[in-house]
Amino acid sequence: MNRQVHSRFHPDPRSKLALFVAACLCVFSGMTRMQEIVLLLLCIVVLLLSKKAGRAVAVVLLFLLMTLGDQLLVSRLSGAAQYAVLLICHVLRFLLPLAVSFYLVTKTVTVGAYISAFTAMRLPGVVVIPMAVMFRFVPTMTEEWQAVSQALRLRGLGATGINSILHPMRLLEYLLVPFLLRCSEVVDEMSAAVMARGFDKDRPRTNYLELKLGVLDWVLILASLAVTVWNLAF
Amino acid sequence: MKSKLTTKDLIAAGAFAAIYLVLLTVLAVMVLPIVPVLYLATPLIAGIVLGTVYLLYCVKVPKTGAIFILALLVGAITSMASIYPLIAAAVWGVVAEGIAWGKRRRSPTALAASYCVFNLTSMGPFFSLLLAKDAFLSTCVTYYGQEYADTIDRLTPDWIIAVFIVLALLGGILGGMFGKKLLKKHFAKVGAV
Repeated sequence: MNRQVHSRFHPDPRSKLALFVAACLCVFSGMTRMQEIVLLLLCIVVLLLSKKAGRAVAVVLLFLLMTLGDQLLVSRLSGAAQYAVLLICHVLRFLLPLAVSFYLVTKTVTVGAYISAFTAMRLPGVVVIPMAVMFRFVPTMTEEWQAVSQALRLRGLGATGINSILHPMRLLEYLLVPFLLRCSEVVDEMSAAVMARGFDKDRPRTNYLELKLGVLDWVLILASLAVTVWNLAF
Repeated sequence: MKSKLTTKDLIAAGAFAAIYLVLLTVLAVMVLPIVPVLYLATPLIAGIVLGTVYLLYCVKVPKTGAIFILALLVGAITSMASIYPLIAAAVWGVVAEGIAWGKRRRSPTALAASYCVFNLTSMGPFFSLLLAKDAFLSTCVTYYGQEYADTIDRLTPDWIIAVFIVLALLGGILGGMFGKKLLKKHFAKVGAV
């Protein structure tokens, strides 16, 4: 954490989590067009606040493209092509707020910030540690998975159509074993690092990063809550 | 096994829950919905893939309570639309924990058997199909269109839940066996467990 981060407003992990939960609830229970736009706007505001302007622009463009495709293309096509466009433009568009909020909770928050946020919520260590690790582990996992599948592709054993149909179990073995081995290695290293930093589930821990819910955080949390209620009640 | 869960075990629990959930989500959201029939076979296919993850986790954290924590984390994430999957996951977690209680925690066969039960958690999303079918189908309409929802509707008469349970158990057995084989063939050899 450098000093610059503190000098300007930076959303609290808790408000990002609130947004994530709202996105999950809304996306999985289906949304109207209006609700979808409001939710996505909320995500974009948080993206901008987290200084990810490039991502925000990309998301807006993607959303517009998908909406256009959905409106113009789907009714004109038929059969498999229509299904493909529908899948890309319609289904993936629905998942967009979820993807953005997932990006926010996994990539823009450090483990330390999570730990202090959860501790501030007075959750016990048994809950705090697995949850924080879970969010932190997702980007690591993606990297490891990419490394393994790249190595397999290089040897002509990659997850291509032919391989997955002819030798599904072999493919699964070749993918899973190195992936899990690498992950379990990372877990060991991570727990060594965490122990070295004095984490313990039974003991309180001071944190360099003092978290406080600012006015904007409350606005974000309330907005997430409002969208959820709006979605679930109407 | 008397020893309590240490911080290190909790870290492993979080990490393996992440692996388990991401693989489950990728399978259930990205790959399978393309064909409705495959979507309904999620418990079977996910079971086969995730058995290895579960077994490795259990062998790595051989403590009472570890399986329950994993079940709760999986339940918490899969119960986005309703609370039932979390409750169900807690129940399956306790049962799976019971199967692999005490000394049996060391035997891969007992672990494979407990995975068989644990895999019922991957059925979580389908509870909404059972309890609130109309709401689920209207969600399907907004997502995938009327045609897809009709297919799902046709494929899921009321007794389908029995089929899901059988599929989940079958997936659990196959995944457990596959995981056991991999554990013996690879992980034990390099001393990862």
